[in-house]
Amino acid sequence: MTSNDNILAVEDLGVHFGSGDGLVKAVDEVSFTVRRGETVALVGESGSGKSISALSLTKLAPRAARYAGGRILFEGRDMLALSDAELRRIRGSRISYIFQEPMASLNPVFTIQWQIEEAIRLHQRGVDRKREVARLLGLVHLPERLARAYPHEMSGGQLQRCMIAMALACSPDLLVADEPTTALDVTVQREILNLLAELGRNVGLSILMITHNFGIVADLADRVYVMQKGRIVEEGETRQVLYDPRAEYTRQLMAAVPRLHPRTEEEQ
Amino acid sequence: METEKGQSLWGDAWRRLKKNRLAMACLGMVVFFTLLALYGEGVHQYWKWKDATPPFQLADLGKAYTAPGLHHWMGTDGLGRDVMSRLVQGARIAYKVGIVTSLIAIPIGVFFGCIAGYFGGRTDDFVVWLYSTFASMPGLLFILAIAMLVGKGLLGIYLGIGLTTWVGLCRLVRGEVIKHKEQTYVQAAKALGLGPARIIFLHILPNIMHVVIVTFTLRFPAAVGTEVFMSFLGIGVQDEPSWGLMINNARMRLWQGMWWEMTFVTLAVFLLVLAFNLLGDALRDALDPRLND
Amino acid sequence: MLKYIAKRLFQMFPTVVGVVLVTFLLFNVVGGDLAATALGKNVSLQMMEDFDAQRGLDKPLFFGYRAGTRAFEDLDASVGRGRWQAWSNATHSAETGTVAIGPQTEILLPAFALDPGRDYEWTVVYRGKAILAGEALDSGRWSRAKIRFGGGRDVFLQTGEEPFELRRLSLRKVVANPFDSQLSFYVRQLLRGDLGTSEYFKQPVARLLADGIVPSLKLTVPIFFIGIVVSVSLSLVCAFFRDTWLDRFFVVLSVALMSINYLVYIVAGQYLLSYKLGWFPVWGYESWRFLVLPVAIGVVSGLGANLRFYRTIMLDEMYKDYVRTAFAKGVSKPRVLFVHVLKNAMIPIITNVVIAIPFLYTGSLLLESFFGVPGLGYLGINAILSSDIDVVRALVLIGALLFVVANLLTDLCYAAADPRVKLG
Ligand SMILES: Nc1ncnc2c1ncn2[C@@H]1O[C@H](COP(=O)(O)OP(=O)(O)O)[C@@H](O)[C@H]1O
Ligand SMILES: [Mg+2]
Repeated sequence: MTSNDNILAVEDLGVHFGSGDGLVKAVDEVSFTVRRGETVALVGESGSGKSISALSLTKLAPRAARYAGGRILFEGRDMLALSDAELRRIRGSRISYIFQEPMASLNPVFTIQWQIEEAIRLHQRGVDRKREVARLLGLVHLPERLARAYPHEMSGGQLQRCMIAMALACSPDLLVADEPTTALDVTVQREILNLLAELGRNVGLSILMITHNFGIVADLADRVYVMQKGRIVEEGETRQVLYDPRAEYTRQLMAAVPRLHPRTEEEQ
Repeated sequence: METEKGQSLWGDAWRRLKKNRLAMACLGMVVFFTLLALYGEGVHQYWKWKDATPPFQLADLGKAYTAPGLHHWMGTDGLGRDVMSRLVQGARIAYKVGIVTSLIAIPIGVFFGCIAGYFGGRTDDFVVWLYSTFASMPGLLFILAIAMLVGKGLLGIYLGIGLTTWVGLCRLVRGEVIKHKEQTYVQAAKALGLGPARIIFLHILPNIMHVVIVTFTLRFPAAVGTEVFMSFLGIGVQDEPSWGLMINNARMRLWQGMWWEMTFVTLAVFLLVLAFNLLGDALRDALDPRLND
Repeated sequence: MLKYIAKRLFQMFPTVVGVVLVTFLLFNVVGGDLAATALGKNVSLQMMEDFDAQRGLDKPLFFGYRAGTRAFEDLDASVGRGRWQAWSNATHSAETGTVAIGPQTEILLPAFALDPGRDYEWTVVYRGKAILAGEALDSGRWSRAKIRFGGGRDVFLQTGEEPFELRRLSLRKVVANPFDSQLSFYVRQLLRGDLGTSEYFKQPVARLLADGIVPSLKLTVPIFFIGIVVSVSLSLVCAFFRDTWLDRFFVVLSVALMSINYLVYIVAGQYLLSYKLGWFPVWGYESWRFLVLPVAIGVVSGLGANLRFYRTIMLDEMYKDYVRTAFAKGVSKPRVLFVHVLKNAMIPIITNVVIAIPFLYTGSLLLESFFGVPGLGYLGINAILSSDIDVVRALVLIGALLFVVANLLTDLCYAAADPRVKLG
């Protein structure tokens, strides 16, 4: 495996908040990689720095954050060194995001149609946006008529599908999913996870899946990184980490989280 | 917010406030003005007790329009009265208005807000109707109308401002009480068989006191501003040195180049109002747990 | 939507009733003797009675069979109240609390001729012999009598040879229809669209309001719109540069602007800009140039509070999740601000703007009086200073009703602007 296979390589990334006594190293010398077509899970308890790591990939971390060293190589280019305009061209077209709260993540006063179209318009010229929106909604198994709906008229599961459709609008290379199912009902969670798995297989998308749920890891991920207090404490193939965790923290984490169905089967 | 947490709320708030340097400066300013007003009250009472016209009311035309100097730090006005001692008396009147109108408005607002929030139903409907009605009244004009009917003088100011400014507090308190009503400590008090009056005033009210404090801090400068305005118009304070009257007098003199009375009085009004406004904001930030996440 | 409007209109009703009631209570009950407030001390009782009659103040408050009249002030000898001093041959004894009237005396009791078209009633507590309003009173012990009579003739108290003593004597009008009260008079007057008559100008209040509204609007409409544009733009600047020195500067500026008394703006503006620098006319209402300074003062004095409010709204929106989504899509910062955030912030902003519409009508009390703009504010201040009751009441009432309507409009705008609001 050469490093050219890596679509994303994060090297010794540090992201800090505050200073002096109040210094918080939200991300502390973190390194991880994502290969083309691969699904990588970033696991850790709440507050361990997963979201900040994920947002930092395109410099989306909150304004208070300071990037304190390290590199983020996306297709060989260091994201931390790019200009604002260059970053904007990558956001939403090469690297897309979906977030935890689909209801809050969509703009309440615009229709789904408008919001997906905006993503297309920003990065592509000369496409029939209406047809494109219809195609994307088809991709996430939503009826076309929902395009005219406002976010508040839809369920959480539908909204997360819309988010996914919007994220896929410009056929990105990397999809960053920050706890995409945490806010959803259990049955809906399963549907969304299946959809992501399907997209990973069919579209050849690389996915960075952020979660605190090992059930999801078992289901989707090829490789896992475990994060604790801003540091990576364990990494490896999913099976290996699940069956033979090296770090005590990983064991605790696995014992603490609720399990989804498939994992119990695997265990038997 | 549980009751015990309610207690530590004040400690936390105080710590946060202490860190806010601007807020502490404002607090200092407020304390300064308060002492000034108390001193003014002392002087006022002294002359009342001696049954003599206080010097700040005595005209001495020989000394009229003295510019600020050693004898009169802030100069004298058109009748030769010392601007600084009149300014202190103005602070006394401003405080009186701020406090008395609060003593009218806050109990009304708290009482109606509490019973509406706690009892709900018809009581709530009535209170909501009452405050919607009062909220509809055109602020200043309504105050002036009340003052006109009650008659010129401090009483008109007290009633005008006091009877119209309870609405906002009532609305806030009602909202808070509705929130607290469902909490376990209230349920527990109910289960113990305590009466509604006890629950509202001994259990819920201490927990929403911060709303009252912040409201007091923010409505105080508003009341002072309105008093200045009314006295300026001539329907407020009549023959005591209110800041509004002083501004009105100084306005004429300004055109003749007597800048000092105007400058010092407006500066005093500005500083007092600014200090209270900033302190109120800081208090709200320090006391409102929602903003502290 | 129509159904929603109808529903909201219906909900408006109690508040309208409340507003009418509050103005009624304020003026007719709290207000005390309105005629004395309005006319001052040196007027005849007849004039006061006319003032009362014109405004329905000579009726019972809410309901009743009797109403007072100024023709005869209640006499209560036990507390020394009444006008017996004016009577010939009458002596008051504070010890016994009585007024004794000498023999062969004829006293004209009412201060002015009573209305011949209606009935009146004396209530008297007396001892001795006399004739009151044509009826004979005769009792050796203290007793009480009510004498009803038509107002057509003069009313005398006549004594004969025997002594006559009074403890109380009062005159009331007899009200034919007990529901014909001050309240119903007020309501009927309003339903007719009659706002009363100005005592000062001797003109219908409605006329005065109609004359004043145009100058007022010329002043307040520019203040209103310029104010909105300036404060919303500045709040966007704050949002764009949030947490920088520029944002902090505007925050401090807005609190400072808020803390400067309105008077100071006016006095300083007039003195410095008009008088010292001569940029603007000082006083008057002749051309648009006369309005520049008051408009500027109006905008600046309202800027602090508005900027603070709009900035809070903008920043609240800036921290919402959908903003992060927009950035993650690759939207530029100006576009996030002006498209995503502004459209959301528009909802509370519109609400705030619409609710301020009544300001267009009463918002410039001081500006108008100090710059000599003959609008409603000028009228209002003068009416308050000259105790022109009807004008003040009409201004308060209309201001309140406008606010109620603005509230309704706010809700409708809200429903129109926010897709999340369900009509029903
Ligand atoms: N806006 C912020 N200001 C200060 N500290 C922050 C901020 N956002 C996050 N942090 C810090 O970064 C840490 C990691 O946060 P996050 O990445 O959101 O955790 P999670 O793993 O739950 O996604 C938090 O524990 C917090 O201390
Ligand atoms: Mg997170």
